[in-house]
Amino acid sequence: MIEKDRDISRDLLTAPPRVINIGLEIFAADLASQDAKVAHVRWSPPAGGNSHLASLLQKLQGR
Amino acid sequence: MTIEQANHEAVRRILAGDPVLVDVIPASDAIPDLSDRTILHAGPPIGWDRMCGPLRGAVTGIAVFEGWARDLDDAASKAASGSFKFHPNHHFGAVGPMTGMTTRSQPLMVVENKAFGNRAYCAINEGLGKVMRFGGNDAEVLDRLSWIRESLGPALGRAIRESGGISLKPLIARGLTMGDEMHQRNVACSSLLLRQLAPLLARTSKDAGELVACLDFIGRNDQFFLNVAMAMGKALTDPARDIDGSCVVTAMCRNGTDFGIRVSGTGDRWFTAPVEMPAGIYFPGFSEKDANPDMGDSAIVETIGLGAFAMAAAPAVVGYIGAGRASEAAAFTRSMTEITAGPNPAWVIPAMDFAGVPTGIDIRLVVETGLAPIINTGIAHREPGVGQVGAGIVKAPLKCFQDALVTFAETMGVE
Repeated sequence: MIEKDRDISRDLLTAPPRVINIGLEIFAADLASQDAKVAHVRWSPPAGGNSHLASLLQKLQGR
Repeated sequence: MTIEQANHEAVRRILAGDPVLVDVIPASDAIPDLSDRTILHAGPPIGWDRMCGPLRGAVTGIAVFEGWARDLDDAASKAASGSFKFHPNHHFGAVGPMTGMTTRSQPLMVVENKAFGNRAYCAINEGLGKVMRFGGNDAEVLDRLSWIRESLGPALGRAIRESGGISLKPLIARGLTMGDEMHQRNVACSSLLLRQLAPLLARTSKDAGELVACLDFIGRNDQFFLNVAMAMGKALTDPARDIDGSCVVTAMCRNGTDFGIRVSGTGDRWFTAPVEMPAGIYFPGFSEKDANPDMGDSAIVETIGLGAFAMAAAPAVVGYIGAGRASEAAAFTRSMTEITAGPNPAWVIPAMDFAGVPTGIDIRLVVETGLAPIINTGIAHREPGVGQVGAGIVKAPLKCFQDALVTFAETMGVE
């Protein structure tokens, strides 16, 4: 087990980066433009961070 | 009824619709309430003072066409002094692309939703380039409208009545397998429709020259089917209106100044916000500085899951509207599944393993994700009288959906 963890750590430092990017797509695009392997996960706070709208959405759940 | 049950009912009605092209008749017969000197336009309500250039161009042109003004200047003067009444097409069971002019003497295509018994109307597509729907209003534009009124409209009416009605649902299903998304690409459905219409036109024609002119006009217009698809969209969504507790969108439209949406559970109220500028490709000699912001009732096709929502079916259109690579077409459709109630099993996309087009826009999902509905669109010149200058994609403004959510929540007793 310890040996396997050591392999993974070594891979992180020696292998090309493989990235999961969450949120701002520009970071993923920048990596992709440099031929890095990157998977982008589109995410933003519910209702764009508008607390009033997020509260309404929450209260409407189950209605 | 819970929100989920109400939304399920709204989408059930949209999916259960049976739209049939049944006739082409004068607007005065189709819409008896359409009075003299009344002009129906695309989008939510707007007065002359706030109308954009192409909408003003179309208004002045249609006023001359109807004989309500001597010339364009006289028409503009009369419009500014309140001689004409302006109303949205949607208030009269109609829709119209871009400027969306509908007046008494124009022939309207009639789509009847046989499952619910309601009808919806749309004028006949004029073709591409300098046309009234893009704000064109010179003699060439008005002469074409006169020919549509005197020859093409009556001929189509006779042919369609002879057919007993042309069922549209299977035609759309076929078109989706042939590369159409029914907004900016209608070449397959236009051809399929012409294949049905041609023998009917020949059988009912009174004059060989007129027959040739009709066949030639339809055959040269790849977008001929757009107006049929729009009337169909209106006929499908109207039965889904006014369902208490439903937050499914029943109309999206724009008048070149404002974008407007209607939501099932909030009745006839419009939720509006300033329209956005399409991003796209321009015809030679034109650029973004020539463009008018987003316009037309045609977003009714996205409201029923077609257009940009069905982009995966039409990779060729991605290049035409400048939306990226053809391989990215599926991403547009996939993203719209995140804001819709579910797929339409009758309209499937081969390139997505026969997944149904995403149908039933839920305002809660739009607000929560921040994903605005995407619309494929033509782009009009910002000045009156010029016409189409390009095509592109545009997003519906989130504010419409946010405001609708607040009002919808109030109807549900939530503040």
